[in-house]
Amino acid sequence: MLGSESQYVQYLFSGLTLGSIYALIALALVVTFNITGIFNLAIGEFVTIGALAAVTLRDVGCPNVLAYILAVIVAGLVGTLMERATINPARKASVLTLIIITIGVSIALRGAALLIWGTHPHTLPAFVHAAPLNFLGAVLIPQSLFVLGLAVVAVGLLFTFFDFTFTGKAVRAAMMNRTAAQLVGINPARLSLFAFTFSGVIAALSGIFITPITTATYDMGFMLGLKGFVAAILGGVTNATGAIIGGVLLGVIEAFAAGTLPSGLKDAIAMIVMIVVLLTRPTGILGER
Amino acid sequence: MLTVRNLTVFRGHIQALTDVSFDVSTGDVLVILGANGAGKSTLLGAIAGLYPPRNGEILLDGALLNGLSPEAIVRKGLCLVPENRQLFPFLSVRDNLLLGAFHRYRRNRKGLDGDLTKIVTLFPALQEKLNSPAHTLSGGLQQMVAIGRGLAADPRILLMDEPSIGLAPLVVKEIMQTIRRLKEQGHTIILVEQNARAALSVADRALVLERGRVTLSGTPGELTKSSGLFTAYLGKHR
Ligand SMILES: Nc1ncnc2c1ncn2[C@@H]1O[C@H](COP(=O)(O)OP(=O)(O)O)[C@@H](O)[C@H]1O
Ligand SMILES: [Mg+2]
Repeated sequence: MLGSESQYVQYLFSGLTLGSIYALIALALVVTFNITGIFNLAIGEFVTIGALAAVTLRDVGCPNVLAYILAVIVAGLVGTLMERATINPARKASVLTLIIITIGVSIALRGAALLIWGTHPHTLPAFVHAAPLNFLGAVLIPQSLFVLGLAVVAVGLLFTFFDFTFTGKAVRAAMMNRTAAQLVGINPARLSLFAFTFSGVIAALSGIFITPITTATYDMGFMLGLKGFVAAILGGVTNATGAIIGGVLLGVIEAFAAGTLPSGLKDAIAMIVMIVVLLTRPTGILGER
Repeated sequence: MLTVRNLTVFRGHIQALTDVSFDVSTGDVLVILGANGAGKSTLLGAIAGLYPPRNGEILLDGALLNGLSPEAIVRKGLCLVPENRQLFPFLSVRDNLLLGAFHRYRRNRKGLDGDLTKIVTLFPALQEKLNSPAHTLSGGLQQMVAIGRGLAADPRILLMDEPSIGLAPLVVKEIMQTIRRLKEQGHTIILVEQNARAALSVADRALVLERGRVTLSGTPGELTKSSGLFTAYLGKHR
C-alpha cells in the first residue's frame, strides 16, 4: 500500500498526537534525572493512575472537570508518596539500586491497578463532541488538538517557571551542579520530592488527555513509559528541549513506520530507534558530546 | 568563633584528615597551606558539611555542626566557595549571584538588590557581565562570581578553596586584594592556598597540613621563622 499525500498528513497528525504524550513523559523523566540522577521507571504507572482514577471518579458521579483535577492530584500524591516512602529513605544507595527501586514500584503499582481496575479497557469521553476536521484530505479528531494544546501549554508553563522564577532557577541550578546548589542552601531532598510530584502531575494529565483516543487499561503506562524513556534518550537525557523534540520525533517516526511497515512492528520501532541512536549518537540529538 | 577539635575524615577508604584541631576568632583570616592531596579541600568540605567526619567536633560558637547537611550549614552562616568555582554554567552571572542568597531569599527578597550592588562594587568588572551566562566568562571573572556568590550568602565565616588556582598572576593579585578588602570589612575567612607567600600576607594565623595532619600552626611570622621544613615548602611554591 503506497501512501498518498493525504495518508502522509494522516500519519503526521497521529504521530504528533502520540508524540506530544511521549514528549511530556520524556520531559518529566529528564527533569527527574537532572535533579536526582535517576530515571523514574514508574512514570508510566503515573499515566495509568491518572487516567483510571479519572474514570473511577466519573463513575462515582464527579463532574468531568472535577474528576480530572482530582485524578491529577491523586497521581501527584502517588509521586510524592513514592519519593518519601521508597526513594528518600534509600537516597544514599547507588543510582542502580534507586532505579531498580523505581522498577519495583512500577510493578507494584501495575499490580494494584490490575486489582482495582481489572484487565478490560476503560474510556473517558472526548472533551468536546465536535465533528472531525478535514485537512488536506486527512482527518483530525478534535481530541488530538487538546493533546497538542496540553503539550504546548505544559511546556510553555514549565519553561516560564524555569526561566522567570527564582524557584525555577534554583531547580535549574541544582540540575547543573548539585553540590554547588547544596552549598548555597538548596535542599536536594525537597527538589527530589518536587520532581516525583511533578512527574505524577504531568503523567496524569497525559493519561487523561490521551484516553479518549486510545482507551485506558491497567497496563497502558508500560509502553508509554518506555516510549517516553526512548524519547528522553533520543533527546540526550539531560536536555529538556531535547526531550520534547525526541518525543515528537519518536511519535512521528512511529506513525509513519506503522503506516508503511507490517503492523506488528509498531512497538518494536521505538526500540530500534533507541538502539540506532545509542550506537550512532549516544549523547542524543541535542546532547553534548 | 569556630572550633575544630580532633577532626578525622575519610574519603572512601582513604583517611584524608587525622586529628585536626584549630580555632578561628571573629575577624581573623586563617590560611591553610599544604601540598596537593594534603587534605585541604577535605577539611573545608568537612566544615561545610560535604564530608561527614568520622570523629571529632566542629563547633560554631559552641554549637555542634557535625552531621548537618551542607544546606543546613550555610543557613548557620558558614559558606564555602568551592575548589574550581563550581558555578551554575548556563545561568546568568546575576542569577548565580542571587542564588548565593537562596537560603535567606524567602525572608529577605527586597534586600537582594542591595546585596547585588555591594558585590558589583567589590567586583566592578562583573557589572557589564551580569546578563552573560557564567560559563562564557574568563577564569578570573568566574572566580569573582564564585566569591560573590559566597558573599551573597552573607556568611559569618567565608571558606575559600584555592581561589587563585589557574589564574594569571595579575588576576591572582586582584583576588588577593579583594580578600584583603574583605578582611578590612571585618569578614572572618578561612583561605586554602597553594600560593603561600601571597596567602600569608593576608593571614592572621596559618596552619600547614601534611598528609592529613596539622604539622605547623601559628602566626605567619612564627611560621616563616620557626621551621626549616616550612622554608623549604615556601621555596617550592614561590
Ligand atoms: N573523591 C575522592 N574519593 C576518594 N578519595 C579522595 C577524593 N578526593 C580526594 N581524595 C583523597 O583525599 C586526600 C585529600 O584530598 P584533598 O582534600 O582534595 O587534598 P588537597 O585539597 O589538599 O589537594 C587525597 O589523598 C586524595 O587522594
Ligand atoms: Mg584541594
